Parts: sequence; structure tokens; C-alpha cells
Amino acid sequence: MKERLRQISSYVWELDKNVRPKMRVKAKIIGSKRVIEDVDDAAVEQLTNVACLPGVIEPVVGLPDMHWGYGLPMGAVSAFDANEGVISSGLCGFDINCGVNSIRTNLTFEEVREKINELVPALFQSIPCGVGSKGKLRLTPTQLDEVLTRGLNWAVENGYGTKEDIESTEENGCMDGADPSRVSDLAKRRGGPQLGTLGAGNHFLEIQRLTDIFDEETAKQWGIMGKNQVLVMIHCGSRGLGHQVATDYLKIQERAVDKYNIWLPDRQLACAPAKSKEGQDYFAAMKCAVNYSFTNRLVMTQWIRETFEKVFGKSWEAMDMHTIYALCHNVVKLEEHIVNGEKRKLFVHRKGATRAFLGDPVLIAGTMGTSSYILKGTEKAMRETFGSSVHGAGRAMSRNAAIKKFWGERVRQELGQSGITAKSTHPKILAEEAPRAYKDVEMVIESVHGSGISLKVARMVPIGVCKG
Amino acid sequence: MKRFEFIEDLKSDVMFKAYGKSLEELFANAAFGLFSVICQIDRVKPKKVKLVKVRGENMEDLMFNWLQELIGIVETDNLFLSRFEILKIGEDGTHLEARCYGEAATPEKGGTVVKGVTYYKYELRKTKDGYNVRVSLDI
Repeated sequence: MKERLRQISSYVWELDKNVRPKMRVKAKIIGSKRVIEDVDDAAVEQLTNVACLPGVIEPVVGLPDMHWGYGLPMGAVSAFDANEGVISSGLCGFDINCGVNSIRTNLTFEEVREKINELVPALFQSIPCGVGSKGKLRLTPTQLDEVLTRGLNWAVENGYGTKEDIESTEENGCMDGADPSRVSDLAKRRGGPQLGTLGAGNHFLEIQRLTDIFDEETAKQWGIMGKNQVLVMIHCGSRGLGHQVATDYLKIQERAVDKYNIWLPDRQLACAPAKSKEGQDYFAAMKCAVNYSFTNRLVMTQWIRETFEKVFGKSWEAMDMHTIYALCHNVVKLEEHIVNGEKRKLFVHRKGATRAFLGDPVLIAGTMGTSSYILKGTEKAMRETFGSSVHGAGRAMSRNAAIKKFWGERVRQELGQSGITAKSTHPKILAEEAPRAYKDVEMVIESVHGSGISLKVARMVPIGVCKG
Repeated sequence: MKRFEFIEDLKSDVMFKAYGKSLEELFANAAFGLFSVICQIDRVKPKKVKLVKVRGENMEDLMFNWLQELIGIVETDNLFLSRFEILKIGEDGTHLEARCYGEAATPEKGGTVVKGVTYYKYELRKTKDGYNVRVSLDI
């Protein structure tokens, strides 16, 4: 399928409607020639599968970090008409509101480096991580329903974070219309005890040093003041609750596909008409998982602040530890976009894609050995990608291959030589997540900035990492 | 016959193929493959018992639901499992009963979070030697 890509400009590639039967709209990939060379043919084909779904709006978009995923690539956006289209659990993926929080400090690299060997283990102690870790919160079923319905409003009322955190979170940390009665009992039993836990795999907590500022004015507005400033980043999702919501609705929507007679090129693209019960129930349940995940990350943010207070002997306010921004990169949203000059309501599915509305911060998580970035959304993103940007680097090597190739303890030593203190529940996870198992994030960012779908504001590198 | 093997197909996730001379063995070995990802299975002792009952529409569906049920148990019961005794299995794939053995989950014996079982290249086959199933996990 890749050979059918037609280059439109330096960073835009198109697949016409006629590259395969039953495509309703074109697909488009944003990326440099080098990015396109790296993209899997199977991932390109997945974009054309989505272009066959009912009510799909042109174009189905692949982003520069695009790589093969279940059903749809990670790093992709697809939008559907709010009346004639579909809502798809398959297109959102298993980790609903997997996302990133960035927290600033006014501490310098030198101040933190002195205490890094105390700070990283202290954070590791205070933030439960890894499979089998136990959360510190015990919520009653009523309290959990409150989290699902009210998101960060619940968090702040219960002493986790402040009003400013709410204002610095996508959707103000709460999607309206979340309905806990649409979430299964099993999902609640899985997720209930996990609120305030990091999980495992590619999720992380990172202490970062600011290395570059590309847009001083914007950086200043977001409290990013200068080189060597220390930032904290959390990458995590909705844990077992979101995984179970996805699992439940993949089954429900698989049956809906038969019921509503929808033709699917791939079973994994389970979906339901936007206005059907199966579509709306999923949307209401998904919002619960979104609210849970925002709360999960803010609860951990507060514990991170308390840990910094203990280590540095100052209040978190005195260390200016405010949220720069918190966002999701696996989600379905009902948004208004201009389509052919006309304002329309669309269900925008972002899978491994970050919302990048004009002027909003865009947070890109790198790997534990390479850079992360803060960018800014643009008008161009509104026109080209339904207001979306990339989410990360994407893997270049399977976990199994990484385990065979790298040795966890060695990875830890190598990171140490590069000035990165890493701690994990066991060494294997460091091998699985070795920086060399990922694509080059710089290549991804060059395409994002070059294409103009978001613009670079700041670059950070890790100095301390906690992995599950 | 080997219990299961990892297959190099997915960059960001995990695929394995499990084998069994009988359906009972196949279901037990697929569960063993799953827990080889979730935890360090060799270190998990059979200290606790969990009885599991699953329903399905056919054999493939039953296997899918079985693995999905076990993923849930890690979190709802806080258990890592390492031994699986299939007590009953309906030849039509409608039901299964199993006794599973393991111990309390701790990060020290943990592997990676498995988010769910997927339909990617999912296939359960009867062969001349028995059965096999190909499973892709979202991790």
C-alpha cells in the first residue's frame, strides 16, 4: 500500500480513495520522507480500513509517530459525522485517556542533582508502580462513582491538587455526561483499588531537565523560565478500569456491527452508529474512564509534590510545582470542526494522538533515555489534522526482541553514565523499555514542527526515572 | 510438546502460540503463556486456589473469555497464577471450569500489565496432534 502514497508537499502524503475498494474518503500521512520510509506498510493499510467506515470525514490522518496498532495505528486521528457516523471502542484503544501531565518546579538541575539519589527512591516509595502494586486509596463504591462522574472536581475537593490544576487540564479534568451505570461492575472492581497507581510497561514518572527553549514568550506564559529548570512528567492511563471498559464495549460493539449491518474490513474496528444505544453507552462509559485517568494522574501529582516537600524541605507552592498542562492521547471527543467551509459536529477519535488546539500546550513523552517536548497547537492543526498532534516516539523493536538484545542492569548502568538515575520494580522492564527499542523522537518532532501541526516550545531530557 | 512460544510479529505488543494435545491442555497452556507475560511465573508458588467459571459461544470465544477473565483476576483478587487445572470443558465451547493456583501479586514478581486480549490474528485450530491457539495481547 505504501507505494500508493502520493507526496503533496514536503510533509504531506495522500492515499486516494481509489487505492482499494470501499474507501469512502482519502487518507493522509503527515511526515518527512524519512518518516514515511520508516512507516510499516501494514499501518498504512490500516488507515485505508478506517476510511471505509460509515460517516467518516475526510481525511483519515496518520501522524509522524504513526506505527502499527490494533485496528488503527497508534498516532492516528479519524473523525466521524455526529449523526451519520460511528463511535468506535476499537478506534480509541484499550488504554482510555492514556495521557501525560507536565509539572514545573523552580528548582535548578544543580539543586536536584545533589539530591537525585534520595529523590528517585522516595518517589518510587510514594507512587505505587508495577504489576501487583497496591494503591493507597480505599474508595467506597459511591466515592468511585463520584470520581467517574466528576473527575478532578472530586480530586480537588478531597485534597488532591488545586483549582489551578483543573484549569490546566484538558476538558478542565472532567468530561460532562459520564455515566457510571454504563461501566461494568468488573471494570469498577478492577479499577477501584488502583486509583493513584502508575502501572507498568511504557508508563513512567520522570524528573526532567530543561535543555532548550524555542519560543520564549509562550514558555514564559506557561511558567517555563529557562535552561536547567527541573520539570516532572507523568505518563499513565486509566488502569484496569479503562482496560475493562474497552474490553466490554469491544464485545458489545462487535455485536452492534452485525445488528446494524456495518461492513468492516477488520474485526478490530468494532463500532456502532453514533446515535445508537451501543454508541452512546460506550461514549458515556469512556468518559468515566477519562475522568478516572485525569484523577489518577492528579492524585499522583499531589504525592509527588509531598515527596519533593520532604526531600527539599520547602512547600510545593514555594517550589512553584504547578501543572503546566495535563492531557489525554487516547480518547473520543465530540468537537466542532470546519469541513469544506461548513461548521460540523464530529466524533474525533484520537489514538496515540494529542489534542493540539490553537495555542494549547502539546506534551510529547520521549523514552527514558531521550528527549521529551512541549509544543504549542496551531491553526494549521485545526485545518489539517482535526486539531491533533503526535504523542511520542513509537517503538522500533518488540519487547521480546528488546529483552533478548538488552540486559536490564546494563541499561540502568548506561543510563547512569548519561546522568539518568533509573529505578524499576525489576531489571527486565528496563530492558523492555530500553531507549534504543524506540524510534528517534527527534525525527518525529522535526516533522511535527516542519509541517506546522504544532510548534516547538521547549525540550527536556530525563535525569530521574521511575518505571513499573 | 512445548506449552507455548512467543511469536515475533508485534513491535509494541506480545503474540504467543499455545499448544495442547487436548482442549484441557490447550486452555491450561494458553493461561500459562498469558501469565508468563504478566508475572515471573517460575517464581509464583501455588499457595492460593481460585475457582474460575467461564461461558462462551464457541471454542474460540470461550478461550478469549477465559484469558480475559484471568486478566481481570490479577486485579480483582490481586493474584499471580502459575498452575491451571481444567476441571470441565464443554465440547461445544459453551462453558469451562478450572481450578487455578498462585500467590498474592507483588511488584517484585511482576512482569508487565496486560490490558486485554485482541482479535488480531486470533485463531484456535485443531491439528493432527491436538490443538493450538494464537493470541495477541495489548500491553
